[in-house]
Amino acid sequence: MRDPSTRVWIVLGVVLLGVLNLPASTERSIKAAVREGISPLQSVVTSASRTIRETLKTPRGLGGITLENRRLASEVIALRNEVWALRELERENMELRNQLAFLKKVRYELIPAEAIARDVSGWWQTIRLNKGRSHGVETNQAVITTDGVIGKTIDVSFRTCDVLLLSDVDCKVAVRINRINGFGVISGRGLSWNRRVELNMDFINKNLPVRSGDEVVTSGLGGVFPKGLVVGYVDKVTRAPSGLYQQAHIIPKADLNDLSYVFIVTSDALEKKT
Amino acid sequence: MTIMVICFMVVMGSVVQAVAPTSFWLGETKPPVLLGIVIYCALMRERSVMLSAACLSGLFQDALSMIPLGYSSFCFCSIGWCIERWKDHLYTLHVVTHVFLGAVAHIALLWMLYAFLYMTGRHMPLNVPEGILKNVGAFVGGGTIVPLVFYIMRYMDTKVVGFVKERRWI
Repeated sequence: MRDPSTRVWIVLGVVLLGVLNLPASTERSIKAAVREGISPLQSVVTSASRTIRETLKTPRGLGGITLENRRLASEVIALRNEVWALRELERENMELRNQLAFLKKVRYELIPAEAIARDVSGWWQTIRLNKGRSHGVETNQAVITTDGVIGKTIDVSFRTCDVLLLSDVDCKVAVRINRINGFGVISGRGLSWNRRVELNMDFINKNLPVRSGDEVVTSGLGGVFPKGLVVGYVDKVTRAPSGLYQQAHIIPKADLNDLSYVFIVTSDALEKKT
Repeated sequence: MTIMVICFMVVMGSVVQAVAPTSFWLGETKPPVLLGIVIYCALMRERSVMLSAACLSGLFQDALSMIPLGYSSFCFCSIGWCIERWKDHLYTLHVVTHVFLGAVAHIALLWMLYAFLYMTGRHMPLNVPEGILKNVGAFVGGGTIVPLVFYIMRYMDTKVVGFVKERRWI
């Protein structure tokens, strides 16, 4: 009679071999099912921990609330003026487009989402959002906050999606330095000792006068990130070891360490010209 | 009931592991809650229960990250088997055992997973200082979290569910 422990090992071996050789679509379905099942619990735990953090911060922040309020009120007035001016510009833009017979303009819609978890293994810089395919989210869509770009969607299930953050080494974004129209590619370098996110911008033309403080925005090349979204600012510039181009350290504008509410950018129609 | 407790702990453990913050000085490693469940089952339960817990924990860890399905299960099963193989030579209820096993097992899990990711080309570049910090983080995280998880699992088994069997020879 076969030893029971041998049976256990045989069953285990078969199960593991089967799982390790699953087709990609089956693997994705299993992962999606587990994520969908766990996401409500993750939302509850994340909300609870956020509430506790905010409650603990409140006594320390009471003194600054009035100042913060005044600052926000003046910012609202400034933004309202800016919106009014931009509306005028938009109206003028539409008139000119009509005259030049541009049929459609790119329209971006934002899907608001909440971050409910981070990567469970610690190897990648990813977050999970509580919006998925049922809300119109697809793979390779830009994700932003009110400050700027934070990453792109990589894995979308029915009610959740995973976002690869800019700080991950695998996240590459085609960008442009606004002031001098210098193109390059940004990739993450992880977190430093003081939790500062560091990004590298490579392949900048070596003859361009890049300066510290220059604003970096998405260039729209590559098909994932729409044009003109703020990524960050140049910190310092160096020459690449090969000497063929320049490299810059970029500080992202959005705080990638404290992500609660974000927006997924979906585009509606592509621009056409007759 | 044992299976229900393990399933419940695996689900809660994966949620806690996902929302827990990380530290640069600990190599951005996550607290090894799921590994703690596997170590508990290896020390206190039958081999079949330990292997089931390892497979389930591995499934959850892989599903909630970008690790291909099956990698973590294999690593958990290997580590669980090693501990279960030698548990008769250990003081299974002593906290020093849990601290030591937690630290060593977490380091082993970390590098086994990295080796798998490296072999399949899904690894991320790691320099020597980052590697050292990851080792430190795995050592500290494993040594502190695993005893805590062990205590919680033992409490669930003895006070909540009713302890059924310590272990038996297979």
